[in-house]
Amino acid sequence: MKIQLDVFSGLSNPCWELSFEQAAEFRQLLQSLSEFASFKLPPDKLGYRGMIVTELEDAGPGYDDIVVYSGIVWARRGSVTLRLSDKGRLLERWLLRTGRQWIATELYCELETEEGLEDSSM
Amino acid sequence: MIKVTVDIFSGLPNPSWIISGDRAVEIMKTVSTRSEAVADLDAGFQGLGYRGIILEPISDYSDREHDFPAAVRIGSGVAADEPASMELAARVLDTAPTDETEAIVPLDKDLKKLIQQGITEVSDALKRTTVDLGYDTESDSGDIVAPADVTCQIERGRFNPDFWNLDTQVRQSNNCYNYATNRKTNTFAQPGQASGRWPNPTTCDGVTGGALSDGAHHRFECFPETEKPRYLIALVIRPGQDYHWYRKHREGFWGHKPGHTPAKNTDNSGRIITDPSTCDRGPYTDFCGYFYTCKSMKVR
Repeated sequence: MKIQLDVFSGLSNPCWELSFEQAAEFRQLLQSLSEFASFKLPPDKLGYRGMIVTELEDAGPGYDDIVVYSGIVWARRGSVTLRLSDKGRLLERWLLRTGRQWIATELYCELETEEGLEDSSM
Repeated sequence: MIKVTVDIFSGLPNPSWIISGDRAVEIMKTVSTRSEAVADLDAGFQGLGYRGIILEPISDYSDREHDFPAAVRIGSGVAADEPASMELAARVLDTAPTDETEAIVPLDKDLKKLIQQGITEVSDALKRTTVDLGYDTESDSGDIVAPADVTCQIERGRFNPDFWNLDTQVRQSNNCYNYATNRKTNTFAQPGQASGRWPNPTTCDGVTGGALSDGAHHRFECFPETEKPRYLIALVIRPGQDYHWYRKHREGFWGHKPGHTPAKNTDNSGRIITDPSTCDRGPYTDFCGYFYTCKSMKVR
């Protein structure tokens, strides 16, 4: 599974892959989420726009990609997008942590403080 | 007489001219005797780019032997006998006046050559085109607050987000630099990459250096007419991390494309962007200034 920190406009976003164990944990976390009634769309602003998960393999029922941002998970399969609730932004924080070594320190700290993604488990 | 219109532009008037005399009669005969070579006016590709050639009789031929409809479309890829339609379109194109003053709206000779080289492929070729056709020209002499000593002629394209947004692959493979320079390279283009000056520090000076190396100019360093289209663009920086570009449009506002997200004309507060130096840019706090793009600019 490939994770993309969607944050840049000109430069390419930081990307990394989940390990086998991390992918298994991601599947578990995703399956624990409940559906969420919302018409909100994923953000298209300048700045942080969430985490994008692609190459999902068997995570979920054939999703093409998943966007995780600010408590909502958009799981897209073809033209249908399912919205799931990411209470406490647990999945988003978890995804950010998996990219710790791939994200520039300054940016990582900004995301933790300014975007409210500090590690709540610590 | 027959009015010919090359249906290709959205904002600009389409190239158009009149055929008269024997040539008009000859084309009338072909259309009236070979109905399979023509299509209805509203048939065929209706999107951006080349959509065919429209023939409209503007003289009353009803007393002649020709049975000519009010208007037909040829060379659009949808006639029953498409080879015949293409052959007719090529003949009609040959009637375009070489003296521009004789046309209603002149047909650019490069565009004519492109169409002539393969009318059958033109529709696809223009759909794949790397630039969004259509712009107008204005004088750029600064603003009321800070008028400049020089006046440059620049072009402003109409705001056309569909060009970037409709195809998911296009949307995801083109960034703010592609949008600002109006070049759909599908490479997530970087300032300086095409000219061998990349990577650059993510500072105003660093990114500016890359864009200038690609062929851009600082604002008020004018490009000649031969470099049309010359767009006005603006650069901002998220210090040390990233950069972002805007492009001014005919409608007066600015458009942009944040990374792989859709092209749009609103800022982070949802307001129409009338001034990129003051709009809500989120973390892109440093405004670096304005620049011109040009036809010969290299973008990759």
